[in-house]
Order: sequence, then C-alpha cells, then structure tokens
Amino acid sequence: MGQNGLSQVKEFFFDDDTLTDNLPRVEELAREIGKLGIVWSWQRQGQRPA
Amino acid sequence: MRSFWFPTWLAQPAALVEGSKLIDAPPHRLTFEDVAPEAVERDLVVLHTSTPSFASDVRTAEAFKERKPGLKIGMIGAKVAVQPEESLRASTAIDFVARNEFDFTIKEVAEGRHLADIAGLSWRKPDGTIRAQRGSRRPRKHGRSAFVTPVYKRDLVVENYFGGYLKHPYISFYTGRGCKSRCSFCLWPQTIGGPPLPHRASAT
Repeated sequence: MGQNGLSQVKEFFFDDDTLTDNLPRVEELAREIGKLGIVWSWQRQGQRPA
Repeated sequence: MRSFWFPTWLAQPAALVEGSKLIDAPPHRLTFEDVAPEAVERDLVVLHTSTPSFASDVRTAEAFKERKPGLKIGMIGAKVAVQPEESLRASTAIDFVARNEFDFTIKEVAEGRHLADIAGLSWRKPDGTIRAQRGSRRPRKHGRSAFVTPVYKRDLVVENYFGGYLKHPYISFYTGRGCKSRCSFCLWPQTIGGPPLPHRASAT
C-alpha cells in the first residue's frame, strides 16, 4: 500500500463492517500485512464467528 | 476534537471514472466559491448526500445549476437510496439519484449511456416526470469495491483526516461489500444492501 505513494500513512483502517466474516481470507490478509510491518485496524460486529 | 473520515463511498465511483476529481470540502476547508469553478468546468457532478445535509446539498446543486444550467447533477448516499422520488421532487437541480450499488451506476452515467438504460437509477425526464429503473436493486455482478488509494493520493491531502483512535496520518477504505446477515436494525441492507460477495484479494 505504501507503494501507492502514501508512505507518510501510519495506520491503514479497513472500514469493512464484515472484514472478519470470511475467516480464511482475513487470516491470509493478516499474514500478508504482517510481512509489510504496517499498523492496520478494522471494524467488526460484536459477535463470535459461527 | 477534530474528526474527519475519508470519503470512502464517493471515492469508489471516482476511482472508476477516468478523468474524475474527488472533492471533499470540509477537511480541506474549501468554501463553495473554492469548489464552484471546478464544478462548472465539468459535465457531470455527483454529490454524496445524507438526511441531515440534504437541504444544504440541494442548495449547493442549485447554485451549480445557476452557474451552468447544462450541468448534469446526481446524488448518491443512503438518503436518496431510500427516498429516490422524494429526493428528486425536492429540487429540479437534481437530474438523477443512484440507488444501492451506485459506483457502477455512476460509471455508466459518466460513459454517457442513456439514463433509461442504467440499472439502479431514478431520474427526471426533460418533461419533468420522474422515472425509476425497474427493480430497486442493481445486480451485483461486479462485487468488489474499487481500489481508492490512488484517488486519495491524487485528490486529497491525507494529513487533513483525523480519527480519534487512529494514528495520524491514516487512510481508511472498504475492501468488500455486503453481509451474510440481514439485521433489521442495520442501515446497510436497505441502502447499499445485497448479498455478501468475494472480498478483494489480500494481494491487492
């Protein structure tokens, strides 16, 4: 994401209300973002996944 | 506390329309007089509106139309998605409103397609009558949200945005649409709506 010329950005906020609905996808996302070493955050409804 | 959120929804049609410009006036402290010269240079202006800002947004649309009567003006947002006819009746300055998944609707308007052929649109005919495309929902064949960060970089000063619990500067965006639940208390099923879809691949 820093490759898009936004290198000054200190946090990347995923506004998706349902980001964690798809658990395999969010795990893959987390592992890839982990490699980048950036701060990221997201929203989530207050319930455990089924 | 100063708090400004990114115009995540308006940025999505902006990302899909070549040659567009995304203007977010409040965080950049732009007045109507700052924005108007840019707006009247354009053929099409799309305003993201809401119930509390609607009256003010209508006045802005009317002021644009006074300066350039041939300007096509549309609105997007939950207010017009839920009340398309009432919104169009509020002012003849509004030529159309785009309901539900409006980013691809706006893309087709910008491409010059005839309004009657665009799903998800309600519009005013030249004789003043209001028409709506049949079916309240646009088929969600496209799925993912547009990639907006190039538009942020091109058109916005990211340092002008603040979220109380986020580091500064931050950016925010959506990477997916829809929800597997249909909660009756939630705004989204009745506005953006639709079933869940594949999210953007994590590699992007």
